Formats: sequence, structure tokens, C-alpha cells
Amino acid sequence: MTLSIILAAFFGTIAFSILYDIPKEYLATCGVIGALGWIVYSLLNTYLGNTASIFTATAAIALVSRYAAVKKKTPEIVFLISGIFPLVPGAGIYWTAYYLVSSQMDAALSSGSGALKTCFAMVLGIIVIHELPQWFFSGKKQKGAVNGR
Amino acid sequence: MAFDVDVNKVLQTSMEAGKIMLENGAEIFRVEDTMKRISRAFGVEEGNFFVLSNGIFTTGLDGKEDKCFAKVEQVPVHGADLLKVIEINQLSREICNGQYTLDETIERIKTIREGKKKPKALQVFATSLGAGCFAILLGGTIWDGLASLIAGTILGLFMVNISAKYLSKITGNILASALVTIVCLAFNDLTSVPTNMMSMIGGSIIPLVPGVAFVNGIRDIGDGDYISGTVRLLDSMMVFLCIAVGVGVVLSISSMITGGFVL
Repeated sequence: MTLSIILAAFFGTIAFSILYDIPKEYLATCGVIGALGWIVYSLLNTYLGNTASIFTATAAIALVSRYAAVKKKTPEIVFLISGIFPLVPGAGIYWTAYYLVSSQMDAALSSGSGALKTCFAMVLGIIVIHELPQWFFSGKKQKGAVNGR
Repeated sequence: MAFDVDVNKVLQTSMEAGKIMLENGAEIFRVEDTMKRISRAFGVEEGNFFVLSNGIFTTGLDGKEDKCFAKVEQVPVHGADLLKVIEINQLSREICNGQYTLDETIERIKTIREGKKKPKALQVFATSLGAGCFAILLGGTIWDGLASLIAGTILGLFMVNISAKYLSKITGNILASALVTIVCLAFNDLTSVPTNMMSMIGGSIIPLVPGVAFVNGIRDIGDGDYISGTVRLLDSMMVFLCIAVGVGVVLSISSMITGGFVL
């Protein structure tokens, strides 16, 4: 993994944060979270395979996003969406649809199940972090706060 | 009821806030939570909210006059403007701290709703930067990134000036992805730089990918809001399918004409 790829993840995340109208003061954080997720993903990819590394990277992103959300008093979704964006199996789902359109069924099946596994890994990664209680991030017990929300 | 409150007005206001959040890409539970908090802060304990991905159902009981407030609002699937979600979230925080009266809240919500649009140039710039960066992330060289940057700029111009104004979501996405593929093919044919079609096209179509709908769908399913989550995922699948149709048609036409490059 080279510096150029980390930079690409950083600026790519920022670009999409701009598209989603995220205010300026959060852009750098979003970029760092996106790059971090990509670093975790590509470091683990060689050892653990795609699904497990997507899971770990999503969990890392969700963890940092929740922390940043508490720190900056902003909905967590701001950081989560932009941070997770590089991992979204956009290309995978797109290739599945493309293979279906061009009737290459074997290729469609393999890339489709890959994309599905990625989705499940992301759901699991997010859920795991959401089970952590809120005081874990804010350091104090909040009244009325629902667990993980 | 603890003190005099206009239940109708309170519920109307919290519904308006919820609607802005929902149509700009907030998760279901956050919308419900915010509506609950706002109405509670203004003294309405009896509000019930049921939020789906494209509709809000509210009922409330006015204990004083023994009347019922009930309203259903349809919220069409919309773009994503997280700034508005952030602002409403901040507003509900401040309401809970007692910083706003009801009338001030209504005023503030109106300002948030109108908001200011981001400049078109910025939108085009972000689109092209995102396309270029993702082409490199998907395993492309710097040249693929450059080609995607160009294709992204054209895509951004097309999205801002044509598809946002005149085209439906489906046609817009098909035409936009076809356009991007044509640009990538042209770059491949007209220059002698070695290119990687897969990452070039893959990067250039990324700005069309419905990231917010997809991630929110996953989030909602994670929270147990299965109906809304499924609808949002289906919405993003639809877009993926449109993109694939656009790219696929152009690629197969070009391979028919030239007899050459097939993926």
C-alpha cells in the first residue's frame, strides 16, 4: 500500500462528504476516518480475506465515528456514511448487475455473493460497535440516552 | 398535561422537523427519537410516532379537550443533505436545553428547510475529485485517475445541468453512466497511455452510487427497522442496475462496432 492510495482514500472521502453537504469543519475528520478504514481493510485483506477485513474495517470506522460524534456533538451518521463510503461494495454490486445484463451468469453469481457477504459484514461491524454503551464514548452516564443511539 | 400546551402545534412542529431529517438521509430511529424529544420538551407526552422510509405517522392526545391529533405525511425519497440533518439535530439538542420557545422553533425550522444550496461549481469539483480518487483506489494508475477526473467533470456537469433538472432518476442514471463510459472509451482509444478500463469506469461511476441510501439501509436493518431498511436497499439496488444498463449498453455497442475491446 502506497501513500498515493491513502491520499486517494482521504481525498475521495472528502469529495463525497462535500457532495453530501457535510459542513467544512467536519471534512478533515471524515477524510481521516475514510482513509483509516481503507488502511485497516487493505492491511488485513491479505491475511483474513475480504469478508473478515471488511468487518474489521467497518467496526473500526463505526468506533471512531461514534467517538467523533460524541466529541463534536453531531449525529454519528455524518462520519459513518462518509467513512464507510470507500468500503461500500459499489463496484461489486455494479459488476454483478453488469454481468447479469451481459448474461455471464457464473461471474454474476460469484461477484454477487461477494457483494452480499460484504453487506453482511458491514451490518455486523456496525451492530457490534452499537452494542457498546454510550458512556464508553462520552465518559459519563447520560440520562435518557438509549443504548447505542 | 402539566401545563397549557397547544398539542396540535407542537406535534405539527416536531413532524416538520422529522420530515426534514427523513428526506435528507437520517436513520429511522433518529427521526423518531428527535420527534419524541421535541414534543416532550414542549410538554406533549402523549405523542406517538411511526416513521417509515417514505412516510411519517403521528398521533397525539390532547388531554384537556379530549381530542385526538392524527396526521400522516408522505415523504418522497429525496437526495441527501446531511447539513440539514445536523442542523435539526443541533436544534433539538438546544430545545431540550430549553433555549427555544415554540414559535422560535417554527421559525428556525423554516430557515433550515430553505437552507442555502451549495454552488454548482463545488458540486462538479467534488464529483470529479471523487471519481479520480476512487479510480486509483480501485487499482488504477495515475493515468486512470486522470481519465476518471475528466469523466467525473463531465458527469458532474451533466448531473447538475441536465439530469437534476429534466430527467427522472432512472433515465438520469442510465444516461449518465452511458456518458461516462463513452468518455472512458474515448480516452482509451484516443490516447496511447496504457489504461485499466475496469478501474477507470469503476471510479467514474462512483459519484452515481447511492452511498447514503445504501448505508442507511444497512443501519436501519441493524436497528431492526426492516421495512425501511429493505426499501432503502432496494432503492440503491435500482440505481446500481441502472448504472449497469448504461455501461453495459455502451460497451456492447462499442465492441460491436470495433469488434475489439470487450471486458
